[in-house]
Amino acid sequence: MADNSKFYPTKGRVILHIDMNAFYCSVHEAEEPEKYKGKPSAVSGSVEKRKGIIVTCSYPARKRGVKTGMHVIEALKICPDLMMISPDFQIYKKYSQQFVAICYNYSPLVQVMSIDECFVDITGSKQFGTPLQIAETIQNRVRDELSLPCSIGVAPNKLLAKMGSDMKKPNGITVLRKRDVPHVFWDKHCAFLYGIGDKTASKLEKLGIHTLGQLAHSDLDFLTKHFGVVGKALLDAANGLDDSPVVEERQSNKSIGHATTLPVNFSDIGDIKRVFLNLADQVSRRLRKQQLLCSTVQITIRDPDMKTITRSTTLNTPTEDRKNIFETAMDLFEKHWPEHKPVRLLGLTLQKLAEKKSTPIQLDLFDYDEQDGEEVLTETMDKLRDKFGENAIITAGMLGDDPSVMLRDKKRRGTSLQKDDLSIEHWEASNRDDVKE
Amino acid sequence: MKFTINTSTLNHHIQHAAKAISNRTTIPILTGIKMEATNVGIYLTASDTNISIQTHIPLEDEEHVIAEITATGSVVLPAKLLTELIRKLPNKQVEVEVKDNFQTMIRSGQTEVEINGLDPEEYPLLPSINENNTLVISSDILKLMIKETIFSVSHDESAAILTGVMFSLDHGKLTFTATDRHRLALKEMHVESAADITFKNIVVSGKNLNELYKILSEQSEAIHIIVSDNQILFKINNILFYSRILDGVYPDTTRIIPAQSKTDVIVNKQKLLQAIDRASLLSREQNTNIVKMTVDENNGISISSSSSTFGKINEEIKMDEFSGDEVNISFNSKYMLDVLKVLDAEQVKIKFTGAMSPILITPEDDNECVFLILPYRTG
Repeated sequence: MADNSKFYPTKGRVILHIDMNAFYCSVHEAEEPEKYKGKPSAVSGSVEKRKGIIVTCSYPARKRGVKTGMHVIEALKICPDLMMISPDFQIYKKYSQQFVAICYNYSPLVQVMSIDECFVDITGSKQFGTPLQIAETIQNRVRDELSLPCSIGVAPNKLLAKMGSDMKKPNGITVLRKRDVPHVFWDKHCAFLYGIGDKTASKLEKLGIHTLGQLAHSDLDFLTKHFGVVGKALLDAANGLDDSPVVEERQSNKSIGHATTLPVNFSDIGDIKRVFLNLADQVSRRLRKQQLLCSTVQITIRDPDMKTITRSTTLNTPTEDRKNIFETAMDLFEKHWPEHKPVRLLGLTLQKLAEKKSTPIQLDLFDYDEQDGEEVLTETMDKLRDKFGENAIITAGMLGDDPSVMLRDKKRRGTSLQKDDLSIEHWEASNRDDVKE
Repeated sequence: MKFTINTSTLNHHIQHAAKAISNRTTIPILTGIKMEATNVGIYLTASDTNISIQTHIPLEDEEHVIAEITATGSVVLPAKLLTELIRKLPNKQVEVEVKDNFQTMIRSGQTEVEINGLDPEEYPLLPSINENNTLVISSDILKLMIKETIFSVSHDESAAILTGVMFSLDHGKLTFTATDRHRLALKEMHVESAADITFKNIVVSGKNLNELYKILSEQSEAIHIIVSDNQILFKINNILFYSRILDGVYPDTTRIIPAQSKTDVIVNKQKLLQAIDRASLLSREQNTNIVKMTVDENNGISISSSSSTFGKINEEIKMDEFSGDEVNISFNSKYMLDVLKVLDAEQVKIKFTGAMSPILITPEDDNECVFLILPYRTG
């Protein structure tokens, strides 16, 4: 066996960041190459029903100027032969699990960041070759076995690996060393760096820090004064330093959420209720499937101008109950959207999750004896639905003909995105920052 | 208005009245205390519309002259300044004189203070209460009834009615009930009242009762309680304490108190309290304060708790009496400690009605107070 040691640092780590290119489109192309290969395609909601938004688009479509986040109508104007695809999360999930499985062949330290990206710590993977060889092997296997393109960053830490995978797309492998930081990053605007958002960048701008080079040479005390503990992190990041570990994320979910874009703007409270009832039904069901309880309920409201707000509340006692979650969501809606102005998208996310068997529930004096009955009912409903499908039994309030009703239909539910299948799934790009946890 | 008064007496009364002053009032005049000198004494009035307090300083008590009125009249003076100032005056006597435009001179020894007063005509009137519905209770008993129930009120403003203690009176039996949905405290006492007076659903905010509690003396002074539509008045010696009655219907708690139990235990209160207190040290994870209790005939009561960070604790207490089934239950130790701390008895009777239904705690030989605690359901 060749001695690969010299390709590994004596101290320090080797991290890969693997980013699937145009993941949703690539998956459809892999499934039906004769239909999509080399053609401009895009994934959005169910095309005929809504004025949807491009969730992702293929490279041929990008060449024609189609961008993620664009309205479908707009995209079709600049690219009339754009093939619109309805999303199928079951397939995405399947492919995602397969590419993560390939990564696990080279290291046990795999951190799944979302449905289409992960970090792999290969510091101890010498027996599989040099870092570059491992990256190539993974990329080749993903291409040969799954017919999917991916870009890989190879670096001494997660930050640089993430930046590296972004530099050559599709099918790139980029090695970034610490010594590359000055010439690659320092002339760039601060927001170029992963982790520095628009808000931070504009605050830096106001402080006279325009480029990453300036940031890298800033005074720590000065940054701490303006950003608190984040100041140190900013300074380190601009110098390409990041000591955060690759954490194997097989732990339980941080949140369970669901959002649905509505076919027309809803403002009738009856419609809103039905959507939340269906959302609550599905998220609470998934919560129970995973034997979890939630303490925080968050709703997302997007208006026709794409302005999005999220509002949350923490419950007195953790719950898994659909009714409780639904009522909490409605209270939040009434409180924060009191005039019932039109809404374009509604979402419901359960947070502060805890394992049911290790979470004590404080019983309530006024309904402790009803709680049992309710639970038996829920349990029975769950069992029926496990066996006969989600539509086997529903409550009357859930009936309707909008997309929230289709949430129960895993294949057809469109761009109402589910966030727990893989720790975080991408939302529409315009909303990405909101869902990164 | 002009009078001289004993400084410490004035201070004493101002401190009482100031309990009704709120820092968050939106009505400017209510940041002040109304001071009124009459031929029968001096009245101080303060209010935040939720509580109103009026104290009466007589001109003399049995032995001493307290105040001398030179000219009757009234003024409203800023409460915060007044309370601080009177406390810090150098001399035993203070003179208060109102001049033009409510400019008020306060003189004590060599100190002379000029305060910008406000027009007393702008001060709201005290609630008018029809005094027909009066009951009389001794202040020490009222104090006890508050103490034994107030800790169970809810602090969740979204269910406002539960933030109060519910008063009811039926056939001379006065009952206080408080619950925050997870526990309940109930205290009954026989009181003097006209036999035909009954009321129910009179709910007084826990915060207000807490202020009243501070004013009530430990001695057995007669307190007159008068109830009207939306106000309750407590007449305490020289003090009138008005409280708004909370709007809304208090939930029916009569059927919540279980009539039957599966296990009955009698145990020394102090021993139980100390054991749970110790166990609670290791039960603070995620604010659950969860403590586990098992009871069986042979081993007695065993109290345990554990913390993934710190370790675990287990201890056993002998029971004095036991009947029924074995018990295995988990509950919030804070709730149990709150009960045991106010419960006035050497021995307590604990009744268990099931692992997922209320625990009932009473003094051994007393049916006048009942405490319920709902347990935790554990996975």
